Amino acid sequence: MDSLMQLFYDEANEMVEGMEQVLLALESGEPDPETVNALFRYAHSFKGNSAAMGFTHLSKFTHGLESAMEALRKEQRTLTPELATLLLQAVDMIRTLLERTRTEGDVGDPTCEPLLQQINAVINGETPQPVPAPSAPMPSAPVQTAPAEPPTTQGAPQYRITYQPAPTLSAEHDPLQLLTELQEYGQVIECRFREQIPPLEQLKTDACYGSWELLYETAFEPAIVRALLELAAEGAEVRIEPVNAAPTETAQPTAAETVAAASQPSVATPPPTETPAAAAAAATAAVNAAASKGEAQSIRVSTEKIDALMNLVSEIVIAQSMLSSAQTADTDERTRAAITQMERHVRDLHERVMAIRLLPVSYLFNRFPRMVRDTAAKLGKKVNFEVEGEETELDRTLLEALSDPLTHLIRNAIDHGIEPPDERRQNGKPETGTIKLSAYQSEGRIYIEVRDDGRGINTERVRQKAIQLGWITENDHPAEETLYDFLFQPGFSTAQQVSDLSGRGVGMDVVKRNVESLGGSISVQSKRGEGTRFLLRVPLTLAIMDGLGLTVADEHYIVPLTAVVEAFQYESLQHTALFDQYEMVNVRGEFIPLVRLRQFVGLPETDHDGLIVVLEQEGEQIALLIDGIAGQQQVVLKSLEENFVRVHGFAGATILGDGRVALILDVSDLIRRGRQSAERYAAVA
Amino acid sequence: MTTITQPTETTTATEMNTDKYLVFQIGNETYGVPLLQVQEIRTYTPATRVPNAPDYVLGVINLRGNIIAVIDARTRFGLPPLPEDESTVVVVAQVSDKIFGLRLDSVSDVMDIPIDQVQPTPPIASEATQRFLSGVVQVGERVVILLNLREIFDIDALSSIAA
Repeated sequence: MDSLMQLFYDEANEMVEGMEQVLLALESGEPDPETVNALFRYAHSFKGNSAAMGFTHLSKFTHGLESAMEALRKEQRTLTPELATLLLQAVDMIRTLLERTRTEGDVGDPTCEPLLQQINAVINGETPQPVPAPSAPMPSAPVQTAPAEPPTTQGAPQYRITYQPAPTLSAEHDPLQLLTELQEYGQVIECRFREQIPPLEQLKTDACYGSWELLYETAFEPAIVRALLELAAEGAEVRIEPVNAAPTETAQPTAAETVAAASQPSVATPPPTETPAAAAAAATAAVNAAASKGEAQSIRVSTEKIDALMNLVSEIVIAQSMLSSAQTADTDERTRAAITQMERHVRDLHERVMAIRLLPVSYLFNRFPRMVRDTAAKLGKKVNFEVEGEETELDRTLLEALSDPLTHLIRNAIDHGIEPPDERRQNGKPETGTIKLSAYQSEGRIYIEVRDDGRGINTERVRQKAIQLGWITENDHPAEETLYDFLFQPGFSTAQQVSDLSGRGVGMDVVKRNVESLGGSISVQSKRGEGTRFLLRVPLTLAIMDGLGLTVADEHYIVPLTAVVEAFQYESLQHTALFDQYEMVNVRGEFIPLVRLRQFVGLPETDHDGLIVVLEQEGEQIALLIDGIAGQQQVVLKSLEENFVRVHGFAGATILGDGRVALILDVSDLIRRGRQSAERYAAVA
Repeated sequence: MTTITQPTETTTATEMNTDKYLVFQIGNETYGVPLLQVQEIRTYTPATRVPNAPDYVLGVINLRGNIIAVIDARTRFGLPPLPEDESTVVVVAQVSDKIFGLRLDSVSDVMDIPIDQVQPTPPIASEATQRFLSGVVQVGERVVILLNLREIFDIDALSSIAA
């Protein structure tokens, strides 16, 4: 099972358990209005998550449940025992549906509807009818059953696939991995590499001029292949043409086209020849296999335990380097060999323990493109979804906790932010709106930004709504920030109609609550007609990155390797300065502001030559003058703030292999400095 | 009932009124910090300088995976720093929720300090250093000056160090 699915199921199981606990707590105590709110939020999140995964039945059922809870909340009705029993049945139903998505794909249960009707009846004060128990998780509707069937390639249709990576081939683009993945779903019969390299003077050093042409044989739908390619290579141009007229092209267009299907061969559409009995047997086998596999694949360990482990390993690394440096010429061969061997194992251990907690945000971000596509389609909007900084690594717990808030924010951006195509055209905007999700590290924190170029927040409508809710009076004209704050209050929503997407006024307070529970904060900026930007800041408990060690005098600093463009010997000929102050460096005809690291860290300048490291962030560059480079290493980012204070200019600190602490330079701060110098330069020149 | 319990109460009272203090010498004086605030005592390892920090902040060190600041007690009190030797130590202490290290020339002892005999510091020191002191107490022959670690670390004054 891939990581996305695993995450979904982990979360789903937690939510099911949460709902159950809330309901069971009711039986032993006083009902409190927060319980209904909690159930409501669970149903809401469930709906969102399952919709994002393409599980329509699960999403539909939880939507119904959410509506019921909404009614309950509005009516201020207390939860009676009989209603609690029904709701527990609903929880069981979610479990059943979940199990089916795991084994059979997106299939429903005939008892879903009656159960919902009954819950609604009780809420509206009618007498309940007994509900049939959810049917056993066996294929009850043979038509919909999707038994486990490994992808057979024998005589399967063939496709000609042209795959042209995005012009700027980024580090996470891995054509080889893509090919390996394709191999899992079919047979790559032929693979040709084509290159269109322009003449030297037009050649860009960071562009990709190659493309691949594949002859591919698979039993899967072309849509699945497309999804697979697009997931693995965002921004790439992909063309799929059937080689021999394949009849499968039109069969079962929607259900099989899900991400889930693409990543899980077992939910593929069955060949129509299979007999029901065989299908049932296969399904049972799949259930068992999935169950036993699921147990073996992951265990949940508290992050505290891993933290303690991590700190211990850091100490071992330090002790190890002390041992290594204690070796002398007299140390005998056996001791030497043992130390070398231990060194290797310790490094391995170190890396593995670190890796346990960290995952790139792409792990989370990857689930959004599909959700955006579906949501936009449903709302008749055109949305171009961009992702940046997916390689930023984040603590797994943080990632999991950010999933709900981001789902809400992105959905809101599509629903409320991006205007319908006509309206956009009328306002002189491109028909297709853009939503950009980006992640980056700065000043020892992780920033995640959701930005849209939609209509922005209508502050007047927010004010009217607040008046209507009795939060302010007609005469109050609060500041913009105060109005934005209202958006995060429970029960606030400006959406005019309740859709199954957003607009119940529950999303934003959940977002705020979730982010704050991580010790983070959320802020919003908006401009009428131009768009809205939500900025989430979460603390950096533990993050890892590849760093480049820079030296000045006997001091050692780290810059994130991702920011490093190039390094070269500094030559005074490239240098230009105004009033000996505002310095620029000419790099192949381009002037880049110069920042001297010695000056930056308060050390005296030297006259001997140094190195220039060109750093880039968000399209801006600076040239950093240093004494030397100390090499590349993986570093664990540590907060300076936790036990000390924030130090401007530094994103945090890290512990080097020898136990010493090195400070990590904040590239955005360096760039800010460079920019100031450049602006002054421009102003004076 | 009251007559019986009274003597016992007095005894407990005197017992409860001594606190354990870690005492050390800086220059010719003996100073003490509440042992409860002290986490551990470590040998001094060179700290990594923090650019633009005040001179009494020696830098930051690694304490089992956490980054903590080390403050030089001598510099903090306006005395010339001494080169480190074998007896140089870092006392790791906790104030509020932050942990920091205080570099000392040496530590000498743990002492029971009779709290009710602590007197306010006479205003002999400069105003700047006065706030580091929380009182003086005579224990036998020795005069112990009690330190206020919170003021010595003074995280609010550092708040954020601009580069």
